[in-house]
Amino acid sequence: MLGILISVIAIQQKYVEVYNFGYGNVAIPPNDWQEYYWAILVKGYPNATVFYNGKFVNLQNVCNYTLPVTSYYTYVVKGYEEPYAFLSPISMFLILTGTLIGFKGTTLFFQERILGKDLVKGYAVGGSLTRYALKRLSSSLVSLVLVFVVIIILEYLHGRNPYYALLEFLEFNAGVSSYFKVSITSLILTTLSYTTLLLGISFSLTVYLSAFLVIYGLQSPLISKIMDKWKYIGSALASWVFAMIIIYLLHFFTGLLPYGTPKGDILSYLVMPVISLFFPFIGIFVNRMLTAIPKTSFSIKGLDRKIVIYRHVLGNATVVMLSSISSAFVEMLLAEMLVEGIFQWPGFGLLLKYAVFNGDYKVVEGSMLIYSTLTVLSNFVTDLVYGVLDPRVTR
Amino acid sequence: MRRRFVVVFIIFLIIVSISVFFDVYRLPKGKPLQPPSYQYPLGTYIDGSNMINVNAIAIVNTLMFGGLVGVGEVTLALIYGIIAGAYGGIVRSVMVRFIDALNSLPRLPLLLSIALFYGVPTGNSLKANFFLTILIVMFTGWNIYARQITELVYTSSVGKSTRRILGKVDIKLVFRSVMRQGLTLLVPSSIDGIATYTGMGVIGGVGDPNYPTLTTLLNTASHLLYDWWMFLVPAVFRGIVLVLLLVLADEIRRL
Repeated sequence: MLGILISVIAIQQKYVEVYNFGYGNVAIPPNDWQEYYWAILVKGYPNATVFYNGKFVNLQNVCNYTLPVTSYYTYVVKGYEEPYAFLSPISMFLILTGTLIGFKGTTLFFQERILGKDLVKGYAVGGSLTRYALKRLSSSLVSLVLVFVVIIILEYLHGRNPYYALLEFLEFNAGVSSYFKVSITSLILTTLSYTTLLLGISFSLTVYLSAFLVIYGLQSPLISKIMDKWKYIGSALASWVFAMIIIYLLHFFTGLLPYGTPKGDILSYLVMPVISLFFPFIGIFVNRMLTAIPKTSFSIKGLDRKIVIYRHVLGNATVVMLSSISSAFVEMLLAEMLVEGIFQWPGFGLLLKYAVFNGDYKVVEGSMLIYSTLTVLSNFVTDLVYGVLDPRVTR
Repeated sequence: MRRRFVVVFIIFLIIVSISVFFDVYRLPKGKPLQPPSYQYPLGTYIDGSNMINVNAIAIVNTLMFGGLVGVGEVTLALIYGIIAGAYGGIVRSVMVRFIDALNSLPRLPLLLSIALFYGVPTGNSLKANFFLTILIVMFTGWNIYARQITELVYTSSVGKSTRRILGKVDIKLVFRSVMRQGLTLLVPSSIDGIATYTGMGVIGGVGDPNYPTLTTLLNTASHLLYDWWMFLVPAVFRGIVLVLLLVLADEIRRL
């Protein structure tokens, strides 16, 4: 919930004006205007106005403007920005970690309700968590280094000096977008906040409901069977295909829900993207979790069936499921990138779409860096949570 | 042979045959964007083409893309996996680390970055040569299967045995022993190829106008959502083709 709340804060917009005062025959925009977190995909480009000698000129783009006479001038860049967009990566990690812990918590809650507190306690012995964390961190860093190397090679092939490119990317500053004309970091952060909001709701909803369905699926062969078939439906009806169908049904045919870039009430714009991500994924997730549970051990040990299923089988399977949730997170992020383009949801996927459509390779490379960083860090976070919840893996 | 496999395979062959037929045999054109009717059972496309032809061509191209990617990926994976698995030791360690490193790269943004080198951005799509795209998808996807084949060869100990008995690794013998399992990867790698191209198409509008796939049709339809036959028909065909391929992959694994 905290992750979703922070992502809601991250998408808040406010109107800002950035000024530059000067003297000369060319009016120059403020130095740092490109670094602001402009909400370009939602509110459009910032506008520019130049005041000089009691007159003013509205400009189509923010660029240098040649004045008819040498004079004092005021250059104003105005538009909407997302001042808290920098919070979006934090909210993304909170969503992942929160969902992982929440998933374990939900299954523990059900185990306790069914078996009682004493039978749920674990007695696993682990090794050093610090050593385990360092080991995981080093492998994450190796993956990130490789991504840097590939990006530098791509930059070199585009004719850029690899040394300067490396310095820029090491600072996570990919420069200025050739199409959007603003800082790539600001573009990525402002769009990531929308991606995080949508992902946070769809992902947590899917994982929590999966936990319920898995628990009931263990005792009901019907649910288990439905979920087994649902994996085919989920794969055939990919999120983005499903997105088109529900846009037609809920927007064009019935007119129930709005579609497009959110204007005003964001909740109504969220419904269709959430459904389109949730519906195909729930079957895939539950099926993946159910296949992680061995079905042959139900009758062994001479114990009560409930204890065998909920204490031994589910207890061990939940830990295995945690690692599959991490890969599911990355899969859903990818699916969301596809869906965003269909719904015109102003997230990371829509940014990537515009960048590719207009040959803005630096935005694509910046997105690649951010995407891999998120993936690598989310795997690292999962490994850490996994290590805390199941100390056996730290041995 | 399992009955389910035979049934699914026959349905798959029927769909492919019908698609190939309507890829060659062109039905009369009509006015652009006509809804389904007696004359045009699946409606007409934006250029007035009969949607039966348009979907048939798209199915053939989609399967061609997947098939070529699948063959390429499995071939590369077999070569790499057999060498890594059969020689074992330091050779395997280094080669496996290399595969793991490749696996950590974000595939879709990487593919889009590469496609920008040879593709032409049009403002609402990226025109990219169909066969070059097959190559880049193939070269970024083989590693997943190479890892599986490496482990298969390594654990089956064929490499070690031939080395011990013959004094050297008999690659041909190892190849023969894993070829069957390698071929079972053909359908999953084809599905992977189709899914990856779909990702490139939906996010970056990557496509070749000369070789429209089902994704190309759905991408076009995403701007014309009111004309339901534009997306629903390709979506149904895409669903059918993918489900058939998934079931085939499951069945081949069990054979």
